[in-house]
Amino acid sequence: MTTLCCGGCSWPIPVESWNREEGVRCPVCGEKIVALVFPAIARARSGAQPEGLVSETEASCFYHPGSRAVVPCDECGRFLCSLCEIEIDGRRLCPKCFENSLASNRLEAAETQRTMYDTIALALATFPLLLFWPAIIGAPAALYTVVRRWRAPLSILPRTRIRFYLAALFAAAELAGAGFILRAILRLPRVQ
Amino acid sequence: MAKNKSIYRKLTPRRRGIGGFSQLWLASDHILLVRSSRFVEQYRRFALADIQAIVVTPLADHTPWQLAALGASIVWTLVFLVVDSTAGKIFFGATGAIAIGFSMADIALGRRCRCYLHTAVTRELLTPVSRLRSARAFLERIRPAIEAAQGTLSFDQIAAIAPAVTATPADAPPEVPQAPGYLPEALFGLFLVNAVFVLLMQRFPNELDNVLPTTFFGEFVILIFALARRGVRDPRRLVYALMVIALLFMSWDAVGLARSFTHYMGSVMEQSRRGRPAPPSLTGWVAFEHAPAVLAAGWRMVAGVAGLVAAWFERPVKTA
Repeated sequence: MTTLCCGGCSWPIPVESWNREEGVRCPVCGEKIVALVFPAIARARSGAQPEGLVSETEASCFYHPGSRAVVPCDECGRFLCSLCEIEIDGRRLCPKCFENSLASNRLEAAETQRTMYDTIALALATFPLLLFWPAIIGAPAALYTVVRRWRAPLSILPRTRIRFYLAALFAAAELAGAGFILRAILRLPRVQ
Repeated sequence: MAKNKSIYRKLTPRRRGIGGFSQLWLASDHILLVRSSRFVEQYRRFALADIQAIVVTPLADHTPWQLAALGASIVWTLVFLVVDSTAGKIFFGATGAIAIGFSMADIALGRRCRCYLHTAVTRELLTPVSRLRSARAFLERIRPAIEAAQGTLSFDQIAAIAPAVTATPADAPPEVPQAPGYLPEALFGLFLVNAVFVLLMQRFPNELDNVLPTTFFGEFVILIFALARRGVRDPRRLVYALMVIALLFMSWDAVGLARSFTHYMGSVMEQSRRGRPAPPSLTGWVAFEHAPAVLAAGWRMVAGVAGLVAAWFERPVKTA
């Protein structure tokens, strides 16, 4: 069973101190701890065990021939026992399809990381401008990122594409400015 | 613009750091912990049905330090009143205002805390819940959601699972001996060295004037570090009381040094105004006149000797 510890001194919190609304003093460091405990703490740690085959006519798991199949994979249709079944996003997948979906970013609920290309594009459009000349490289790179990653999924949290729009706007303005400066330089009268 | 539909509702405000932020969001069946470095977001999900416990522990009260920081910020800001140049006024005014803002926000946010979320396989520090006030708000929102997914744990059920948990309040933890370190001794030793420097400066003013500001600054840094680090590590009392008294004398020395430096700079300006070449370095600056030098050396001698003796007698005896 999980042992709950004080966040200050790591001393185990006595069971008598659990779920006390007003909190209790840690016997060691004396800080007033609030430990909210839920029924999951009493649950057994092991998962569902697969059932064995009763007769030869029963469908068996694709990965465990000795276990009874309980559900087909929603992706490939293979029969799965309760050990192999992975339920995610309302779908039941086999381990192989789960891995494939994860690799191709089709499982938002299992994603652990996303790159914020809109922030990168905006940074490319703005930061180089602080040193002026690097903007000549930063602006095209920002435009390329905007075009190339426009359809890339953004954060899984609420987020608009405003950074992409701003990056494109700044980059276009910088390129226009660079063109204007270049034109002005070319039009300067040559010193004899 | 297509609106990005999300299944998440905000649980806590962003906790911003130098390299990004972290934040908690609530979905219908899980909590999402987001750690962002601005360019990459990392996600950790905790199913509401799997959360075993949430433990909130307040951290030590730092109100005196927060007030001291606010006071220091105000003093820093007020320097703009005595500085003549516009750039100096802007620098001290702006940086001081920012420091005051941060100090006041730190005090207003309240006491700090640590919040841990326990599941069967992890114990996760919820970094966005770093203040007691936000922890209370977080618990008020998350508790009904978890109880809706799992139900509640009655005291009878807790009593039933009690034997599985071994620790009881009767089991006092063994005392972990912590070495108090030798920082106070180093400080008092430095006091004695500086006392000698101050006296030698009277004899060799040009050679040692540039050394003293550095060693004085070293004294100050070690003293502040020793006081801040003390905590529960060092049971000695007298040495730290001596340090606080020494801090007052150091402040007096700092005022004297600032006064003599201002006087020196004034003479340099006056010389340049008259068209005479200004001295190239600080060689013309006399840090202490005779009387302040005797005082500076004297209190350092006394504090150094008394501190070393007190540190020797108060040092806890090592037990085998």
